[in-house]
Amino acid sequence: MITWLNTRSPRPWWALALLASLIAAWIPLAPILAPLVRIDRLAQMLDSRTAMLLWRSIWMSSGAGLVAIFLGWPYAIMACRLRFPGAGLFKLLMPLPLLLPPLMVAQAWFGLTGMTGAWASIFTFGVCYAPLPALLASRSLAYQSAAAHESALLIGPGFAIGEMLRISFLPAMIGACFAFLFAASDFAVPDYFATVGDLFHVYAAEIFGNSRNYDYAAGATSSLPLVLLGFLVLLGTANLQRRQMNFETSHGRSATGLNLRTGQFFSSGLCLALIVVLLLAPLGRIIYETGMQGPLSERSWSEVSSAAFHDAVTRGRDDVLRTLSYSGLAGLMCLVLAPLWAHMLLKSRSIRRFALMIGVTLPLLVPSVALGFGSILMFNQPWLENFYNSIWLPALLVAGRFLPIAVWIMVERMGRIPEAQEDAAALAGCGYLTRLFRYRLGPVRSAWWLAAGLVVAFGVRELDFAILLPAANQSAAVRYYNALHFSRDNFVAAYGLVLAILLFLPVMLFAWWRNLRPSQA
Amino acid sequence: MSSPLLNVQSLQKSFGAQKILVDLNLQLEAGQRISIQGPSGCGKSTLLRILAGLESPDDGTISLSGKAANHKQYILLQPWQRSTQMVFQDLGLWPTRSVLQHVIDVRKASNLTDPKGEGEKILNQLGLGHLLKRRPGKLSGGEARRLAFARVMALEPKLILLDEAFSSLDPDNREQGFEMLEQVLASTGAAVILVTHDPAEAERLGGTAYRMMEGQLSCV
Repeated sequence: MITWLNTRSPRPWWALALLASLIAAWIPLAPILAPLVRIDRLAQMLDSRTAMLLWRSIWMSSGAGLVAIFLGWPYAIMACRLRFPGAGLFKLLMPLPLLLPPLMVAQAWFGLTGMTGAWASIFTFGVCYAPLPALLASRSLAYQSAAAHESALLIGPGFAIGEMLRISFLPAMIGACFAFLFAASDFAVPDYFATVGDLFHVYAAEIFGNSRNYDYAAGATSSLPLVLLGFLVLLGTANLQRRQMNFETSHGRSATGLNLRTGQFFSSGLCLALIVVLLLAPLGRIIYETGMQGPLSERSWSEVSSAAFHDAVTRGRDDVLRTLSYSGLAGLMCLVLAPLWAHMLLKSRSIRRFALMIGVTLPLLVPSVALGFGSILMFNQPWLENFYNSIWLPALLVAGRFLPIAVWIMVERMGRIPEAQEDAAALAGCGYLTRLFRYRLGPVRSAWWLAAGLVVAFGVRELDFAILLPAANQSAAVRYYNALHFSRDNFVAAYGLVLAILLFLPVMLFAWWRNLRPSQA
Repeated sequence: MSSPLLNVQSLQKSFGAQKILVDLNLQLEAGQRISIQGPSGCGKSTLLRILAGLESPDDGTISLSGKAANHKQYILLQPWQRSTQMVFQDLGLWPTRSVLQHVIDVRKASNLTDPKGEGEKILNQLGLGHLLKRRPGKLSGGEARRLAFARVMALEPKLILLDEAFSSLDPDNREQGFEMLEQVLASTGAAVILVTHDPAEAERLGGTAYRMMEGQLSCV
């Protein structure tokens, strides 16, 4: 049995990965992509009103990308490559804002500033997705050659910082492109700001609006312009990535931190200011809101807050457990699928590689709401009733939607392992799974866990398709969304914090575990 | 009497329990050439990095043209204040900058005159005049090495440190590398310290040859 599983050819395993993607990701996409074969329907889709909404989504998402790069890029350079008190802690905190549900950040900043409308959405998305440019920039900085950095340092500290900016600019731009994609397909944050302030619509909200009259087909097909927009952004991102590959020169020794002497206090202060905006201020506000009360209330802040937490834990426990169940299942699926997909991509060339990359990325380009519509249309069949109502459906959808993130991480890390290691194992007669999991994946095992962990985290904070699918209705994100719209502020804040702790915990544990281990490729 | 270009006294450096440099002394006059040979891991590169200010010693003093550059473990002159340039084994070229930008950048950063004109002149001199817009990733090994030397030449340093700069080259390319170094030295009048594990390279450089043994230098 084991011999059969460990066949020398990768093809059966790659076929399995393709089959899994077909069920988890591509089948629900079919109704969304259907108008592509009917050009006349495509033209009808963009009347003047929807074109205006699409344009609004584009500039709102562009603004979010700009805010994300403006906040995330300098933070990454300071936290990762300058030496100052607390730099390690700032680096550790860098990914955390990405794990906060955007709706919670919106609620916090509305509470702090009272801002509403499109600018509030831009700012919220920028804050939520600033870790994307930061993480990608920090990765490229980690691979800067020590000799290149030291050559620059011999010229001057300003020049060395300039070189850091140049080397990390394209990755930061790629992060901003992803921020654009996520912001463009999110309906919940603009919807929230439209509810608490002046009414305004974006394209993703227009797609979601189809759920009110149960017109799932229209909902699925109307998302196509956003998918095409996402596709264009992805092409741009791939071009940036290709250009960045030419800039990576590290051979072994990586550059160390730069000590700016008196400038270190400025860096420390700036980093603190940025993390306050990205993480501490929203969290602080949410903590405050757990015990917030009316002027006539006679209870203390701590009494109200404890009651809110008690309420959140007792009433929301089942939803949290259900969410963790399907997100955990999705993480497990990606634990198997991501290395297979990554290896398939690394072994493919030119057009085949490009086609596979598009195929695996497509579910992330589609607005999550549309993926929900597509799933309803394809899986809500009498003969699939049990599957449709089980947690397997949201688990599959979470895995399919966020698999691209896991695959990109694995491609990036596994691509740095010399192919000769795997070739030597093949010459020694090792089977495919041994070659893949022991020799190609072994040295980057921490990245493997990180990839699956991210899928779980994104699954927990996923709201848009969870609202639509009956099997995911009883989830943490949906309970949060409903409570927020019914203005149950104390409960919402406490529940949001419980979710944030649940999301932060694995990341912090992972960071702690990685710090215990010697550095990896 | 004028101060020597470089004066190193009782330099010490350890990594954990392993002593790398032990009471090391060295003097170098302007325009002088020295080579330091020794097996891998004996501390040759560490010495160069300390001289460049990229690493601090545990003890000892370093002065450059009479100015204190280090005192004990403290760096008094930062790397960019030492008028020193280094050619690394993997060259340390900047991947995002073109060939011409490499030399313009360093001349601008050091406030040297006519960055573009002088830069082009240097690049033409080293046979890179036809590759001005190319990035390091698109250069051959030999061209990249020439660019590393062009960058040194553009800065007009007083001291050039070569860290295994010709290792891993075949004999023909190595000879070309030395010819290029001669051009750079003739143009800048700099002193040079070459670190190598190959006696033939030390002989080709000329000047004084040292061997590093147990953290100290001895004349060959």
